[in-house]
Amino acid sequence: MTYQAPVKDMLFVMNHLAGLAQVAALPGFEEATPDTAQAVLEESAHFAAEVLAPLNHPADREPSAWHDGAVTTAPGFKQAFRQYADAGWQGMTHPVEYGGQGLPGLIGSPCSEMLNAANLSFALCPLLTNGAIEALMTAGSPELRQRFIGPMISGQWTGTMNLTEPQAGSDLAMIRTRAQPMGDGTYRLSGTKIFITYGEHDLAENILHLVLARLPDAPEGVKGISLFLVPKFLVNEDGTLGARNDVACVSIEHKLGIKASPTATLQFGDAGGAVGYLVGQENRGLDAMFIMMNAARYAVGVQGIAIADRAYQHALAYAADRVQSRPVDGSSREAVPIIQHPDVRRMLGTMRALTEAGRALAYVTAGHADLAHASPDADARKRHLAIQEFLVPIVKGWCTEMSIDVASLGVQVHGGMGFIEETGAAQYYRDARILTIYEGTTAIQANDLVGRKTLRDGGAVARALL
Amino acid sequence: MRQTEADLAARSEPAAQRMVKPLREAREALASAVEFILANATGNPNAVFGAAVPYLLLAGTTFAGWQMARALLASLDLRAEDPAFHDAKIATAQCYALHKLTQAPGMAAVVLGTAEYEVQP
Repeated sequence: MTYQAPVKDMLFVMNHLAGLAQVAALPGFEEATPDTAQAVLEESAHFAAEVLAPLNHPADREPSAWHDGAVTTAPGFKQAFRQYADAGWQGMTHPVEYGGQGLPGLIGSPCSEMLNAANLSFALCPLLTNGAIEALMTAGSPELRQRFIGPMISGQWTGTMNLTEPQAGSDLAMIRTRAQPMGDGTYRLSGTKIFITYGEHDLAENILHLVLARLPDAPEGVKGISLFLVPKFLVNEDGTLGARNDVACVSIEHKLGIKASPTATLQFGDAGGAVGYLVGQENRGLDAMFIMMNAARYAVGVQGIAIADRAYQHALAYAADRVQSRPVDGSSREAVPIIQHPDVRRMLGTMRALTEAGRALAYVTAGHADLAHASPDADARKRHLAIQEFLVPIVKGWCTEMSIDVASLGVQVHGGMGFIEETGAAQYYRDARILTIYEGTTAIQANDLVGRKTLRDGGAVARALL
Repeated sequence: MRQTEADLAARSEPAAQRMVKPLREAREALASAVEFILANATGNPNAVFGAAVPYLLLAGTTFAGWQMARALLASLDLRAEDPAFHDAKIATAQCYALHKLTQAPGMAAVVLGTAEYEVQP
């Protein structure tokens, strides 16, 4: 099944709802004109449709495989990732000084939507790498930034987020992975991390794991967690790769969906300790991780819009083609394509309305994020940041919940054929199911919306929006 | 959101007129949920956090509907540029208003009701 990115709708939302002109007026974003936006989106749409979308369904049937500590990704992924990296997509929204293109998130969001719509499993690798770049950019020392960010932006290396442990899921206070200071500025990590997206793969020559762990004298709970950078291969002073670090992929999971995205169990320090570098301050790891998580939560909301749109396009094409039953209004004596039947129209209309509404909400949030980041006026930055932070859990929670509804309707439009894997509608339904869970379940988003975003300021932002 | 409601109400087109009521009722529903959260968080945390996901879904339904109302207004102004695209957008915004925004008062009733109803797992 093909995928055509809805470039016209994306540009409409960017220009008329999310304030692209305002964003392009910000210092540093002068390049982000409507013409540039259109050119970038069209190029991205081409890549998504031609390279990534055709790999999506085959990758579901022949997903990533683990053998003896190594992971082979799905057919075509390696070449597609090379094309993705060589075209510079990974660096689109990252600073020019590190080799990125410095474009605003408002232009990055539709490109991310396309990537995810075309191939959710593939898109997770760049999504996590973006998070790792953000975390290093925000909390990493100048030395760490200089050494590790450039190769991630160029797509030479990729990044991961290592939070979860078998006993520590939503409750990060229960993390046990240990980090021992060596006195030379490095640390040795040991412990087990699970559910690590792209924790091992063959798409790039090195993987940079960002790992939450405890120092020996750390206080209990979340105030005793630090963030470390642990490369799969150690990196020499001159940037070349050195010895293999003491981190091993012991298995990958068998999942309901996103099967081609390898979900790794990583074992750190079985041979004495994995070499790690502290990112930010000791015991302040969650602060840095929250920056990464905020970006990732927004990105997962965009994944919901993406999979909803893919499911809609698939169902729309089927309904226009599938002929069953005469119309209830007597307008034809022959059976007609089911898209003419009122309930099929209701389902497709609802799928489309939810998808377009989610897109508008998410891109408007991206516009606030850009204004919060780059507005020359401090008060304006503060105001837009407060709105962006209020909307992120809503984008994540609502857009992913609706994506399951939309993908389910997509199966329903297909009738019995929708329940058959070969049709392809079922894959979107299975793939969408993780989105309300990872990067914080809907309940975690809702608790954030209630606690940090509604109660903490006495309802100020909520009331102002209403 | 009030400004968007006023902009809709000021238009003569039936598509805009039809969206005024569902958007206003969704905003009022969400506002009542916000006030419930603020008033009960300390005294009845189980009710507030038991209503947290319904509150989030109400907020998403309402704010996404707000953006669809803004889209409708933009499409009414831009219609001549590309009638097929903008007519579809106007229809989609109305579909959203009918099928989603109308659910907002019921969603708010769930949030406010958590203080009174016991939930048995």
